Amino acid sequence: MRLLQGVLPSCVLLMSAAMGVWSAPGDVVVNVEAMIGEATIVNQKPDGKQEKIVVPTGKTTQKDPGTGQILLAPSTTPDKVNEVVHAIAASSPDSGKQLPSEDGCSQGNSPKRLSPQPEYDDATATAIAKELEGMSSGELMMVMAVLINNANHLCIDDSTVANTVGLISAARPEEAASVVFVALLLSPDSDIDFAEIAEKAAPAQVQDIRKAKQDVDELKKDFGAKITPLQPTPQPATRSNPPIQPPRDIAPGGAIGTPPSPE
Amino acid sequence: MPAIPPLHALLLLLAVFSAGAWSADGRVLSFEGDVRVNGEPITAETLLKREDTITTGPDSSVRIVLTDNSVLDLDSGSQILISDYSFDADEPAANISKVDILSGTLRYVSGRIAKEDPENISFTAGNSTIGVRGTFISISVSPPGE
Repeated sequence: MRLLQGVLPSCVLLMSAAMGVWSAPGDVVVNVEAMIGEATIVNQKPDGKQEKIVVPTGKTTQKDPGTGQILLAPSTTPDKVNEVVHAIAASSPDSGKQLPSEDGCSQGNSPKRLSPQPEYDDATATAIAKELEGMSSGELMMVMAVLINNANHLCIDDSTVANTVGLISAARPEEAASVVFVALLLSPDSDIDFAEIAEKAAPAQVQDIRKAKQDVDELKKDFGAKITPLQPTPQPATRSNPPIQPPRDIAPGGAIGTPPSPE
Repeated sequence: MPAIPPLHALLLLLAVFSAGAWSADGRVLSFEGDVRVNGEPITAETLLKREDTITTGPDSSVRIVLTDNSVLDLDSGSQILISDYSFDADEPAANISKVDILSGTLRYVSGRIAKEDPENISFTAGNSTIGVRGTFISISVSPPGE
């Protein structure tokens, strides 16, 4: 189990499962890490008072061993999915062309692109593909889910998702159908044909990719009103700030340092 | 339970997705190893709904997509309870998602509810209640000393 370093005082945990009763006497250790966006922790103290702490992007909760006070600390536990997601977002070729927003992309402003269909250069694609090669099927699915569901926070759009589908399909052809499935499922209103991109990158997987597309089409019918596309957040009418390029800290191979703040 | 080869598991899941209606709060996106829902081994046919307890064994994991497009990724040796969940795109005020993390590590990719009504999303872990804004977060619960 992956362990983070922060701790919060907590309680005796008793839980009943169908297979029996499991108990863990004493405090449990709770850690929260915000890899994108932020989390707010409300902790019930033994005296009944509540302690609240906000965990922003790139931070994890941690307790001062001397005082027991809950502190924030930079995230120190590597997360493969998070690293790759941020590398992909930061490496998007037109990341420097983003129009500024008053709050930054993490405040729900849809990213604006000056070029509609960015493509990675060869070196960047190779570096990211190398990271993707070492990931499990589940981790690749998570990469797609995080990119799609956090597009606004990451300042990316469907073009970056499409490029990632192509990268994964080329680097891991056997996973092409699964990433197409996730992309189509979570991004139902996209104008981009993710299946076509995957087919070009992994031509040997065409049959499975088309099956995945058909399956999602069938599933969408079943979703009914439950699943509908996210509506883009309205953009401010005017912007007064000069164009800026968000700070990026990309190490060779696509690893990243501190992710962008949500604020 | 033996692990299902990823490709076979995916094809199986795809087949089930195409065959069955979305009549629950969540579906299994993929899984490896010994994963149980309410004590019963998970299958590609498993429909997830509120009040379900999901448990992963050693070297096992599961990814679940809920109807608001949020994704739960449960590491090995973990247990969560979907204590409350409701999503209707036409009635966002009534949407809610509450998950109790009983042990292990959960990674959460937010979906519609968190975007439109972030206050309606919460996780409990020990004596802590965690809200989200965004987001992609990791929450872990473990006995002291680990």
